[in-house]
Amino acid sequence: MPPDIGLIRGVSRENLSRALRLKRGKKILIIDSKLTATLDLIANFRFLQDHGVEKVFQLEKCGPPQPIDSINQCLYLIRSDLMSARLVCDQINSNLNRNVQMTYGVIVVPRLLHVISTLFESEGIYEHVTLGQYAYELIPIEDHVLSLEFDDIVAQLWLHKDTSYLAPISKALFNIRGIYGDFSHVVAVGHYSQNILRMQVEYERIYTNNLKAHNRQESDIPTLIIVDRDIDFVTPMMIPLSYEAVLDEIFGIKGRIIMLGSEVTGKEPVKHNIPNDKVFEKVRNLHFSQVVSYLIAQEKETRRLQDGSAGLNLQQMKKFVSTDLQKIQALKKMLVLHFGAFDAILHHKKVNLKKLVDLQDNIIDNVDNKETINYLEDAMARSFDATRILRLFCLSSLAQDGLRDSKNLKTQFIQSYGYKHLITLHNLEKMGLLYNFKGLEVNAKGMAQVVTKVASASPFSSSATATAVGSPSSKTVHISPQAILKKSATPSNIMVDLVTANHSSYIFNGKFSPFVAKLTEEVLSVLVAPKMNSALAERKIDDHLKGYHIPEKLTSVKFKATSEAYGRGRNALVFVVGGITRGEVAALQTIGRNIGFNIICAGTDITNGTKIINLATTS
Amino acid sequence: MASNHIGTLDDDKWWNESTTKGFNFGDESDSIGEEDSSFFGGHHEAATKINLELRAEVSSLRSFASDGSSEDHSEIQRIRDLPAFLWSDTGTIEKELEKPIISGSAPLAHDLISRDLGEGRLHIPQVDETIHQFLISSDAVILEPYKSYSQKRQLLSKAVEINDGNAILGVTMFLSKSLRPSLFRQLLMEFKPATEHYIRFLETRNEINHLVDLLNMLGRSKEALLLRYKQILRRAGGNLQNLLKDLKHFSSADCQLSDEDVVLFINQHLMLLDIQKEIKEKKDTLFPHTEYSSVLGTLGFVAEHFYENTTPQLNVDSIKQKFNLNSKQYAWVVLHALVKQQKWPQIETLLLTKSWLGGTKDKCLLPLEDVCFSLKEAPIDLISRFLRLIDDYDKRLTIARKLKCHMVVLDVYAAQKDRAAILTYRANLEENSKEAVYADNTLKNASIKWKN
Repeated sequence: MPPDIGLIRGVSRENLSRALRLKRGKKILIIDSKLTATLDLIANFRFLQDHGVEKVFQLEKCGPPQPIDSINQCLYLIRSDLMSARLVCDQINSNLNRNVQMTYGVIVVPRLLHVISTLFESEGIYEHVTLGQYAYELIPIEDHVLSLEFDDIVAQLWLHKDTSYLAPISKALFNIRGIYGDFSHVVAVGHYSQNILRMQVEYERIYTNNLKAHNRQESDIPTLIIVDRDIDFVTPMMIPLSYEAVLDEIFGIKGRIIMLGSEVTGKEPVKHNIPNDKVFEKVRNLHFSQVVSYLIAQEKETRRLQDGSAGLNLQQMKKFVSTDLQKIQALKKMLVLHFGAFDAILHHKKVNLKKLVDLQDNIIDNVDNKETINYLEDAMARSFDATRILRLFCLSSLAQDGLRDSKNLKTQFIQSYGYKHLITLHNLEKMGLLYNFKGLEVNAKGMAQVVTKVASASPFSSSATATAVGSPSSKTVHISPQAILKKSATPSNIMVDLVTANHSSYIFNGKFSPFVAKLTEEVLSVLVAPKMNSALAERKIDDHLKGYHIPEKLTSVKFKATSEAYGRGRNALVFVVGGITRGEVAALQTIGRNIGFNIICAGTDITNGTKIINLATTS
Repeated sequence: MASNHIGTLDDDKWWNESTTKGFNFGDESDSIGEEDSSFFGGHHEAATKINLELRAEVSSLRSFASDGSSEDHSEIQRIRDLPAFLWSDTGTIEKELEKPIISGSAPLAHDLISRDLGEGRLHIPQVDETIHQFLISSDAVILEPYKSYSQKRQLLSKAVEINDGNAILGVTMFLSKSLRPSLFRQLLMEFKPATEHYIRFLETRNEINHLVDLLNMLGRSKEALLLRYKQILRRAGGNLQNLLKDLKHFSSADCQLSDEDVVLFINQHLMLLDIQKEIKEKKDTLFPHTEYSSVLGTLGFVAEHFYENTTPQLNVDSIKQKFNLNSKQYAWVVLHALVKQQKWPQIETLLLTKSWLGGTKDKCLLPLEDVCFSLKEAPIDLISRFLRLIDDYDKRLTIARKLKCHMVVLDVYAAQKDRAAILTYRANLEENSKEAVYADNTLKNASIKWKN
């Protein structure tokens, strides 16, 4: 039995209503535009109206607020970001100078940072504002997908090394324990995941009385698997081939909405709402190559249904028109939309999906590297989409122990797209996504390099193993993307069938499974194995983890000692710090199906390679 | 209703009125090749056909939006039963100065500390509890009582240990104010996460000078340079004059002593700006240098407007040399510029090189397939010339058909001795056209031994 997702939704709403009561009565709401889509997933406009909100403005677009119809309360809803806070300060200061009579409340999402209240203090307006904070729970995007919608988290954690978002993540997971009961099995992989678990201990201390008063024996979600994005940056750099993921790659999916452009609809762009689409529900997890067959079959079926109306009498016809026909029409509309989307993907002007998939497959297999470099050079000389190029740069770096011929490629990139991208490339290096090839390049000009490398590699120096500047080495502990890839490769005894999507690797044409999917499969298999006590299970999983060559410091496995077999419901929560991809969600669903688990896929956000690269890109 | 959605407020009208009347696939003729169709599922043609039929049937698409589901009572009850730490009362701190915090409103341990401030001796809260206050983002964290160095150090150490950015930065800022710079720096060096948070803070506060000093002190000179560079780019906005001036100053003042490779690029950027300045002076002052800000962009502009120019500055070859561009970069950019100007003869000279010893076959610098598609609008003879350089018959045939180079298609069939194919193809050609006559002549050619 899946857990009642409605509960977390309810908690988010209840806390929102408490936050809105920071200013009681009628008020104007000014909202950080980056929060609108998120708020939309939690409550609707009527909800805000019920809590006294009369008007909504966007922070970046509106000037200092003015009293409207004798409403002189103003409530700001901003992200915990110093820039937004500064904007608020400027607006309030401007009003104070002009003697505009208003009172102000500022709600910071997800947390009120010390620097923000200090800012209000130093701006001299501390006494004019009431400060508050609002942290929503994990937001159910769908029944099996939860997100915190922290869109720039990868930049925060891996580029700026700003860890102020870790506490909200940890608290959200702590609250999951409060809502659904405590976890019995926790597996965490990655530096930040360890931090998040560490913070759980602090929360336990802070809320100790609370927890005791609310001790639940049974848990709805007994298992938590939490993983850092940087353990597997390979997966987001790849284009996953489930239909949903491809739609996201080409058109973009935000929350529950697919942005379909005019190339699909033939006219204006449409914000296509996923929950209303019965066709999408059926095709979303299919491998891209299987989508058309399904759509054609569906089309035939609707045709058959419609033809069934041929011999009806007047009375029956009336009924048919009023009920069935509408359904058929609605279904047809969806089919048209998906045929259109499919067609647009095939003939897309900017993204040559087939070519990109071939390239990424070659990079993973480490074959035809020369051809890959050739393609990259041509693509840059022709000013193709820069983000796609950078994704291939990063994929090569991670999957092949560094980017080959990187000096030339980087120079050409800058020559094609502008010198400002010196900063972009530096950012990617800092995030550990881009680094120079560490092996010996074997080509004509590489010979000299080989000679110098061999000459400098004395048995006493560490230079032979030293990693390039900007590689994950700066973290002092090493993760080897290649070792992880190797372990995640599809076992040779498994025949991956793209038609039935029988293995989690189907999203990558059967080459390998995303790390988080592979790990989840291993953990759940151990959990359901017969005659397994917690100590033994822990050891088994530790053994699995050793196979990835992840430093021990970055892993932890903690199982509660219970005699019981795996708890009711067979629910497991899988959380990726740094964002889960739609490909990973599809892969995890396959695993859930195969071993009979309900896997809830969660992350700090729903992400993809383009989103990650764009966070590093200078505008 | 859609209008209930906050995120779509602006789009209400658009939402409700948006209809989908039919699909426009543009040119239906370029269907995908054989190899592609297996990748895409192999039903593409059928799909397109069905789609065309469907779109005739479906007239309009109503707007969809889920309305906020109504909560039922049992759920409300279950939410009420949840533990108290879920509720944000404790976080939402009433703190207008007129009404100080009412003690007891938050029944947690951390709120019971250090309220006896100001009466004689200071009560020093436990380090753990102060850090807990940061962790729950309380607005009432008090750091001033921590007077001793060891306690300050302990605070930072604990903040770093649990790695909460709020605590780390909060404590770091307190230390920067309450310690002499050298002591403060010592602590920064010791606690790396504190450094990172402090750096980020200075950057968002735009305190660049201070930050550059700090980065240099930490030996992160590349970051320092890039930071200055970024600042210069931002400050100049779109103004070429200012950018040139600032960057020149930067290059001579800060970059001189550095051996970072970014300096090389920064100097190249200067070189490029000089060329752009030249263009503005020569051509027109409205040269949109921000659109053409890259080396290749500028090269493209020069190729488009000064192709025959031989002055040393504004000349494609000199740009190629100055920036050490490879022949691919050069050829692609100039090709696009020449296509734009429809300078067809020049394209041949650009791309084709005679092979050694006067051999009969030309060589093309760029991948032929892509070149042919780039030449879509060129005279058919020129496209044909490039098409004929494609060795693989099947490939040549597919592209020739797509680009409607009938003669090339016919030649391939003739070379394959495929009479039947020519006959079928002939049927689609305009009667009495040059191509039709060519087809007929080919069919009559007695020297070909047809296979069918």
